[in-house]
Amino acid sequence: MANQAPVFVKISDYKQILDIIDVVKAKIEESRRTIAKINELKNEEDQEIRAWTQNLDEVNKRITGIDKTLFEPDN
Amino acid sequence: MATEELFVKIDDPLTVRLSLLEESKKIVHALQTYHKLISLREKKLDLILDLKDQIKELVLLFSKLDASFPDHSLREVVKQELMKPKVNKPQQSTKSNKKASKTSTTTAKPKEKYVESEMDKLNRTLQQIEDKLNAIR
Repeated sequence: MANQAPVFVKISDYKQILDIIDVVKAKIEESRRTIAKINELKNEEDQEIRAWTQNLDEVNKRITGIDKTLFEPDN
Repeated sequence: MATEELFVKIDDPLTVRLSLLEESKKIVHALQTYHKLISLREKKLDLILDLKDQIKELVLLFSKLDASFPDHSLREVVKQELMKPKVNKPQQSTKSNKKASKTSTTTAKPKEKYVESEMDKLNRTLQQIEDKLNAIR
C-alpha cells in the first residue's frame, strides 16, 4: 500500500501544474475535434463504398440482362 | 473456299445499346468514386498524423505533470540505498584503463545496432508507468 502521508507541492510548482493541466485540457479538446473529423471522413468513406457496391450490383444486373438478350434470343 | 459468315439477330438493339452506354457511365462513376476515396483517405491520413502529434504532446505534458509532483517513493528509494552494501568502485590507474580499453577493442565483437522502433518506445513508456502505478498501490 502507498504511504498515506500528506504530500506538499511548492506554490510555484502548483501554479505550473495548473497551467499544464489547462494545456492538457485544451489538447484533449483538440484531439477530440480531430477524432470527430476522422470519424466524419470514415463515415463518408463508408458511404462511398456502399454506393460503389450498389453501383456495381446494378451494373452486374444490367449486364446479366444484356447477356441474356444476346445469348438467349427469343427466336 | 470462302468461309460462311453467320450473324445473330439482336432483338431491340436500341435498348441494348442504351443499357451498355448507361452501364459505361456507371463504371466511369465507379472510377470517380475511387479517386474520391483516395482523396478521402489522404485527408484521413493527414488527420491521423495530426492526432498522433497531439497525443505525443499529451504524453509530454503528462510526463511534465508527473515530474512536477514530488516523488512518493523517494523515502523508499533512500531507505533502499542505505540498506545496500557499499560496492567499491574499481579505480584503476589511467594506464590500466587504457590497457583494458585496448583489450576490449580487440576482443569485443562489433555490436549490432538495434534501432528502437516507435512501438518499442511506447511499450517501454507503458512499462515505466505500470511500474510507477505498482509502486504506488
